[in-house]
Amino acid sequence: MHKLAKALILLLIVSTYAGCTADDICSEETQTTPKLVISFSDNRASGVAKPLAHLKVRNLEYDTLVWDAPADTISIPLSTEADRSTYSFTILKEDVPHTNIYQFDYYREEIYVSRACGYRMRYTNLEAEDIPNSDNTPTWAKFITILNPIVDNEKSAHITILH
Amino acid sequence: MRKALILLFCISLLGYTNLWAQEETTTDTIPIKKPYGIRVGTDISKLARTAISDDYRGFSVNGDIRISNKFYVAAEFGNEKKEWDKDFLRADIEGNYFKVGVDYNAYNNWLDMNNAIYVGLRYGYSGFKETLHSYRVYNTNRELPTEIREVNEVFDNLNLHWLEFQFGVKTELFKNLFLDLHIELKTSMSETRPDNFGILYAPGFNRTYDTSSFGIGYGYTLTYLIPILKR
Repeated sequence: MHKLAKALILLLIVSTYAGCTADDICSEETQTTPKLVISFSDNRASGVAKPLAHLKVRNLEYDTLVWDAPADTISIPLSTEADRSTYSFTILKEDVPHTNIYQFDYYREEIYVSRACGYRMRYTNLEAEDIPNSDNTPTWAKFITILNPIVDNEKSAHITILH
Repeated sequence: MRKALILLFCISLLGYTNLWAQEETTTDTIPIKKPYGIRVGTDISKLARTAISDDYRGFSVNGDIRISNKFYVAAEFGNEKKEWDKDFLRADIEGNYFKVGVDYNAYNNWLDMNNAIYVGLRYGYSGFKETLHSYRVYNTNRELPTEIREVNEVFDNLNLHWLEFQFGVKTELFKNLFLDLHIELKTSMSETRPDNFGILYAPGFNRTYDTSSFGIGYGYTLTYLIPILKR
């Protein structure tokens, strides 16, 4: 009888522990709302990466700087509240700022993840539109190409900017 | 002569069996008759939680029938409502459940005592609905704001089947009044999940875990024995 009681208590502790650990915290490994991943490539040789020495990316709806660093591949957030996010991409060429503005349109889908993480966003039908600069700021990028119109994870680039 | 020998052999055999039978009757003691009947009651811990906590309301009817010296057929049915409010996920769950199974009493009672240390097995069924009040869209970036969604969406006709193992003690407090204290280990066998949501809690099963099918619980039940016969 004592052995049985001990076994049961052990089982209870183990199952409680196993049940509680990973469950009530949203772990960092869990894929939650994905960011938009953008790579930069050479417009003269397709598929060849061409990193930028320095890039500033600003969200125009919220007027927030989301990237201010050298850029090989960048990831920037898409709004969870609207079907459109607009960004300005600025580099310095011989100390002169060059800016391209891109408007991203998409559908939003809210997907249940878990009790700790709640819901996450999945973006589909991603489209990018080149918006002309209102002032006479010169541009630097030539084309923007959608590589994957579904933003579900951050494993590979969704968009490449050719310059 | 030969007939006489056979007759003697038969008598001796008869005598031997008689003797053996006699031995058994002499070693027999006065039998203590055990009460057989139906025990009916309620889980008082559910009543206490209903009174104390704001996010829980529950009631159950618990009972068993003794079918042999060691075995009981046991059943429970009840209704529970639980509010879930954690990490911006706010929902409530409401529904009915029942459990049916057997208990095995592993305790050898002294004389006319009727206590038990028992193990039990149950099949459980829970039918319920979940109402999702609000949630957040989880976002690791803090650059763009994310609002809490207020939805009040109802997910109806949900169910969960489970298998439950119980371990507990029963003591007779007063004549025919029993207090039962037990722990429950459950494992979900199948469930109807809501579309684009999860089962956070199931009445009778208690809270679920996203990473395992296990569940745990306890009971603190007061039952009254309606004696039917003594055997």
